[in-house]
Amino acid sequence: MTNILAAAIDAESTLETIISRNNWDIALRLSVLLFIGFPACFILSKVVGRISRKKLGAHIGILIQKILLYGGIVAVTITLLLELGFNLGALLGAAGIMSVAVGFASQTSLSNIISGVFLYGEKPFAVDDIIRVGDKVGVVLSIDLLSVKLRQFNNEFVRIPNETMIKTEVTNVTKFPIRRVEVDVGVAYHSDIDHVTHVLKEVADKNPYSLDDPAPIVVFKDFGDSSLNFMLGAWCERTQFLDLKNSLMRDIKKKFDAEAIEIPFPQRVVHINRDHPNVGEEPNS
Amino acid sequence: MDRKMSEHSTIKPPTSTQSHWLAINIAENEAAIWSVEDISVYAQRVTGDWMLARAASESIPIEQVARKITWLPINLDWKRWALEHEAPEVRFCPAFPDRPLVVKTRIPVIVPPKTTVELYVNLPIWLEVSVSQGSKYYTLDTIAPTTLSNTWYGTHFEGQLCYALKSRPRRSLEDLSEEPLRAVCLFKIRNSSKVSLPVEKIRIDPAHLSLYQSNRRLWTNCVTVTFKGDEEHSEIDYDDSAPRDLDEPTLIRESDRPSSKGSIIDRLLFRSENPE
Repeated sequence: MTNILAAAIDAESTLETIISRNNWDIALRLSVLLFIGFPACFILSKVVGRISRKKLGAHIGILIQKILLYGGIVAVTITLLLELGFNLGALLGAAGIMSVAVGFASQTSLSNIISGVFLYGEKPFAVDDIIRVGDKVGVVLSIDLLSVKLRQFNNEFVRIPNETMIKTEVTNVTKFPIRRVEVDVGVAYHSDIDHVTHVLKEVADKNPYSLDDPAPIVVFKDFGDSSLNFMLGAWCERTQFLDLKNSLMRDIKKKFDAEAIEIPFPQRVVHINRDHPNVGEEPNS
Repeated sequence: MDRKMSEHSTIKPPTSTQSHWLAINIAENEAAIWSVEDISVYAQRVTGDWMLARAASESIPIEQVARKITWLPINLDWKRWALEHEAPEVRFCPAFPDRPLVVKTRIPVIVPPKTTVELYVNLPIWLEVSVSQGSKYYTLDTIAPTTLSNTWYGTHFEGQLCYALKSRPRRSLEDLSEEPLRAVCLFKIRNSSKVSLPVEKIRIDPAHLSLYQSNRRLWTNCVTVTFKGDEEHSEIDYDDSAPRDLDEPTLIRESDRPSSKGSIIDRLLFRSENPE
């Protein structure tokens, strides 16, 4: 605290000296630092960031941009303080003591920063990928040192701390160029299984979004309570996932109606034992 | 809509070699129809702008690909282009699909070592509609007569989105049907390796193909693939001229990306991957 006070007093006397002696040389240097140094940091980081995004990808580009921006601001601020006559040695000494206290208070932040470094190294996803974290699904806007920012499809902004990203299961939906749409459908027990399989395959084959190769598959999954359960799996280019899913659902319903294949409601078969002594009596009689 | 045609509208008569591909002069506030197989394209000029619409094929005589019309069907889905300069001429040209094409054999064809085989493939042709703008043509639209299926050429991790062709490659030209919106591509597979090569599917990149007309049939330049073994990349050559033995071939469309001999190296996936 004494150190900071001493540095402040030094700076105050220097400012007074600058003002009282009409020291225009120092004033000019301070103005240059203030009005050119800081804007230069912003412009330079943006230009270099844009170039590195093109050459090295969005992920690395953003990191380089932020390092340049924050590094530049720190450098300009230190120079500015030196010009103002601050005793930085005293200031750094005070900062060293304070950093211990700050360190205890910023354990979570440190954990996020370290997790961020791991995320940069591992690269499980990149900017513009669609990821699922818990119940949140969205497009990755940025991967920063403390957190990952997502834009959900309802345009909500989500900030997820890097520590959570390391601890939680993350699904990268758009990592690979093709995806499989899986549609579960149940048909009545009296349906012809071969006919249903053929109809589902035909629906996928005729869909313009469904890939011919890898070929669509139809799986007879299980005997349900009220239906025979099938799964139709059709592949598509990753950007056409919703188009394929919507059109498949619509086409299946139309084709089942046309082919008189019944999609049953949940049902229970109730057998009445007429030989039971209580059959026919009122419940409370 | 019922309009009277003016004397200024002209249709350039189809020549014997380019029967389906022609240019039409349409006067202001006039319309014409171009129709081949299942596709019809309506074109009209309205206050200097061009409007195009496609519809199911009109029943016009086969010898008359294009004609002036005095009425237009209602409920057409029009697209309109605002042009700076007067453009009375609209041109109908053949074009290739905008993605590579994958052709599958019905059953794998095995090419023995040190052998070259020839396959004929019927490629789909799209319709390019353009108008003259000074010395150049400006493309208004490229129309696909039929919707082609999508297919993936590659692994689950990397590859390319392509169109899948339903027609099979043939060993003989006589086995290919002659259709106006199809172009014959002669595909040669040279197996220079020491192992047999089972061919299940072929990928053709139309960007390297040119179009020629010979009699009433469209042809592309010949494609030769040299397979050197599983461990080595294959070499693809796109010829820079019409196939030999064609009767008076006329170049009607140059390739978008001409390639020199052996300049394209590719990893060929001849075998289908098993889906999960």
